Amino acid sequence: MVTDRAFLTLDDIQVRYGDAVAVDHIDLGINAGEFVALLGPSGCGKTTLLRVIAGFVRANGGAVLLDGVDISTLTPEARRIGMVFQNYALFPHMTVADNIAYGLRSHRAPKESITPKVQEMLGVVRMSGYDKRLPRQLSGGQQQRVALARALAISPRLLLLDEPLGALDKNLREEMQSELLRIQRELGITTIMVTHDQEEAMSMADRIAVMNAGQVMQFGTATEIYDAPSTPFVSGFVGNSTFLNGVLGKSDDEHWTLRTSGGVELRFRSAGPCRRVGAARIALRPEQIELCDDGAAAVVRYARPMGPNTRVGVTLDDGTELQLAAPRERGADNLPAGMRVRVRINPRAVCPVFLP
Amino acid sequence: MAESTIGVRMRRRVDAVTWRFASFTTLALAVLLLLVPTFIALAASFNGGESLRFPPRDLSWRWYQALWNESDDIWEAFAISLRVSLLATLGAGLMATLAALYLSRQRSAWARALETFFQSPMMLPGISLGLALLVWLQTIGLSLSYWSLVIGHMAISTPYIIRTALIGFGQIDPSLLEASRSLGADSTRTFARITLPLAMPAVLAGGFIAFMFSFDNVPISLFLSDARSEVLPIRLWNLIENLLDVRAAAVAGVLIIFTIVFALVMERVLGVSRYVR
Amino acid sequence: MTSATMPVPLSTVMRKPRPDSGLLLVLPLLLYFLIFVLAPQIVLLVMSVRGQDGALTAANFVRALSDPMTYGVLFGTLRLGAYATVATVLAGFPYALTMVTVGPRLRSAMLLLVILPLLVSAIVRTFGWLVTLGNQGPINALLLWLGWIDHPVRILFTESAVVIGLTQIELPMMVLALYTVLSRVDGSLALASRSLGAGHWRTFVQVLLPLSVPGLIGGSALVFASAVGAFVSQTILGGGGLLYMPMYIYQQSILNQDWGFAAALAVILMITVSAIIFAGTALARRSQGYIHG
Repeated sequence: MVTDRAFLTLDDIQVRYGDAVAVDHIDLGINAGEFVALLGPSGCGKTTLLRVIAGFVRANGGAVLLDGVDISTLTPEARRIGMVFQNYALFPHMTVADNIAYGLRSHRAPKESITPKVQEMLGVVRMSGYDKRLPRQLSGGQQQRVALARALAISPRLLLLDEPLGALDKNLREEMQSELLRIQRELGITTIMVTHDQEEAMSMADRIAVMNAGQVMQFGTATEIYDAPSTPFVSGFVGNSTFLNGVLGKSDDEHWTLRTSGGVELRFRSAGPCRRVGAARIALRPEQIELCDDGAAAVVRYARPMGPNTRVGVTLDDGTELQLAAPRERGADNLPAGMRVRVRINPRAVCPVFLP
Repeated sequence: MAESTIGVRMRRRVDAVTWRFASFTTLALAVLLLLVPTFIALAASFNGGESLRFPPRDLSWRWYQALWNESDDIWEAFAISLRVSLLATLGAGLMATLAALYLSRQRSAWARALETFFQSPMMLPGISLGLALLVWLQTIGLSLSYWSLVIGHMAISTPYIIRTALIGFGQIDPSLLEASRSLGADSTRTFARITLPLAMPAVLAGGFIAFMFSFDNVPISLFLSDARSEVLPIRLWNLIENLLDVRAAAVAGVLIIFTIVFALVMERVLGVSRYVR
Repeated sequence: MTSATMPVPLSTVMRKPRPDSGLLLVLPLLLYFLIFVLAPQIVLLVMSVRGQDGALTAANFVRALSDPMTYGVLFGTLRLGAYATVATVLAGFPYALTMVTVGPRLRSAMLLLVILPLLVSAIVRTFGWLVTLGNQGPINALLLWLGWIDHPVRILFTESAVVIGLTQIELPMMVLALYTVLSRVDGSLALASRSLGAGHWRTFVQVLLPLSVPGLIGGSALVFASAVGAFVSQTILGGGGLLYMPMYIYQQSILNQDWGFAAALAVILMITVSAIIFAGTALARRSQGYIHG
C-alpha cells in the first residue's frame, strides 16, 4: 500500500534485461524509521530492486521517491544513501579510519568534524581503537562493522544492506543480527535489507516483502506472513508447509473442514484468503498438527528428534503424508514405526486457505 | 603375464635415475646459460690488458676509470638514452593507462581487437617498424631528431604498459567502485582515490619493464636517430664492433649492476614478477 | 532520520546512458597508433610495390624471392629461428617443470633469475657471449686445459654462436610461457599418473607434455618471431660473414638507399613473423580448448 506518509516510495518499478524481466511492476511504500526485509529465493529480483533504490540500476519504468522527492534520475553519489555490500567492499589500501572518513571527505564535510565523527561511528559499532588497522587485518565480523560504520558516517537518509550476514557463521550471524538491530533502533534510520534467509528476515524486520519472479507476493509483518500468507508461494517459502487439496466446507462459526479425495476430514480455523466452500487447498505447518485421541487415523513412519522438537512423519489412511512437530517433553521420541495413532489440527491453529 | 618383481624394481630404479639425471643436467645447463655470459662480461671488465679475455689477467679498475674520466661520448649517449626512454615511457604510460582503464571494462570483440593492436609493436620485428616509421616521417616531412626517437620509442613502450595496466584494472573488485559512489564520490573522485591507487603497482611495473626495453632498443633507434642523438646501446655497439674497446666491458659491467639493483628494488617495491605472465 | 547534518552534493546529473564518454579515454592512444604505427606500415607497403618510375610493380618482391642471395638470407634467418626455438624448448622445459614443482621461495628465485636477463640490455648479454665464445674466452680455455684441442677453436662468428646467444636471450620468454601453462595444470594429475604405476618418463610424455602443448606452441611462436628479428645478436655474434634479414634490410635501406627493395624485404619479414605468431596463438588457443574441453 502506497500512502502519502511513506518515506520511501517505489512506484511501479520495472527493470528488464533484454527479454528477461527482473522487476515486474513493483509498488512499495516504506515508512520512516522502518526496518524492511526483501526476502526471496535467488533470482527473484530483490537485489536488483535494492540496486534501483541505490541508483546503480536504472529502472525501465516507474519512479523512486525519497521523502517526497523523485530521485529516479539522480546518480548514486547524489542520493546520500548508505549501502553495505555483501563482501563489505572495504577499500583495501586505506585504514579503517580512512575508510570511514571517505564518505565524509567526498561530501566535503568540514575538516574539523571528520575525526570526531569517525570516532563516534567506531563507537557505535563497538570498534573503537581499530582506526589504524587495514581491512585485511580484520576478521569477517569486524570488516562488516567497519562497512556499517562507513555507510552510517555520512548520515544517510536510508540504509541499504545487501545480504550482509551471508558470509558469517551461525553464532556470529546471530550476534550481528542483534547488533544491527540495536544500531538501527538507536539511530532510527530507515533500513532495507536483502536476504534469502527467512529466519533472519523474521527476527529482524518490522515488515517483510516476500518476492518471487520480480514481484512482491506479500508485504507485511512477520506474523502476517507466517500466519496469513496471501499466496501458496509465501506459505511455502516461509517456514515449512504441507499443502493439502480437498473440498472446503464450513463446520461452525469459527471452524472449517477440508475433506480430501481419500475421505479424510480435518477441522481447522481459516486465515483466508479463500473463504468460500468448494475446491480449495490448505497449508499446514508441522507445529499445527498434533497427536490426539480422536482424529484422523494415521500410521507412524518415523520419529526424529531435532533440537527442541521431535519430527514425526505419519501417513493418513488416504495416503497423505504429513509431518508434525511435537515438543520433546510429550514423549514423541519413542514412537515406533508402524504404530497407529490419531492426528488432528490444533483447534487453536489458524491455517491459510487458498484456491487450488 | 606379470614381470618378475626384481625386474620391475630395476626398471623403476633406472627410470627414476635417468629422469633425475636428465632433469638435473638440463636444468644446470639452463642456469649456466642464463648466468654465465653476464658473469663473464662483468669479470672481463676487470681485465688489466687491452683485450677481452677470460679469466682476466692483471685485475684492475682501469677501464672503469677510463669510463669515468675519458668517456664523454659514452656519457652523452647515456644521457640521451635516459631522456628518450623516460619521455617515451611517460608519454606511452599516460596514454596506455587511460586506454586500459576503458578497455578493461569492455567485453566486446572490438576491445579485444584494440588490445591486440596496441600490443602489436612488441610482437613485430623492430627492423620493419623502424624502417616503416622512418619512411613515414620523411613522407610527412618530419625531419629526424631527438623527437623522432621519442615517437618511435613511445610506440614500442606501449605494449608493456598496457598489458600490465589491463591486468591491474581488471583485478579491481567492482563493488569497491560502487561503494565509493554510494558514499558520495563521483566518477572522477572514484578514479583518483580508488581505481588509480589500486592499479598503480601494475601500471608502474609495466612502466619499469617498458623503460628497460626502450633503453635497450636498437632497431628503432638505428633508423630514427640523427647524427646528434646517439643512444647508449648504439654507442656501445660501435665500441664493440669497430674498436673492440674494452671500455665496452666496463659499460657492460655498469649496466649489469645497475639493472640487477634496479630490478631487485622494483621487485621488492612493486612485485613486478607478478605481472610478467 | 531526515535531518541534514551535511550539505547534499549538488551533482544531480541527469543520467542519460552515454556509452561514448569512455571512448575519449582510448582516443589518444588510438590516434597515436593510427598515425605512428598503422600509417607507416601502409606507406611501407606502398613503397614496396612502387617501381623507380612510380608505377605499381611487384618487381621488388619478385627480386626478393628469386634472387638466390636474398632467398638464402631469408631462408637462413628462418632456419636460425627454428634452431633457436628448438634449443629454448629443450633448455626451457626442465626449467619450467622444476619451477612448478619446487616450493614458493625457490620458485620466486628461479622466476627472478629468468626475468633478470630480459631486463639486462641485449647488447650487454651478447657482449658476454662475445667474450665467452671468443678465442681467449672460457670455453676455449676449458677445452685447451682439458687437452681436447691444441689451439683455440673458432666458435664465434658461426651460426652456432648465434644460436647459442639467441637461446639465452629467448629462454626467459619460453620459460614464462611454459610456466604459465604448467602452473595451471592440476598437480594431482601427475600424482595420479605416478600412483597408477607410470614412471617419470611416461608421466612426462603422456600427461605433462600434452597438457603443456598450448604453452609450447604459444611460446615457440613468440621465440621464433623474436629470434628472427634479433638484430643485435645476429650481427654481433654472426660477424660480417653471416647475413640475416634484419641487417640485410638495414643495409639495403640506409647503406644502399634502395628503399623499394628494402621495403619489400621488411614487408616480407613482417608478414612471415605475423603469420607465425597468428598461427601459433590460434593453434595454442585451439589446443587449449581441445585439452580442457
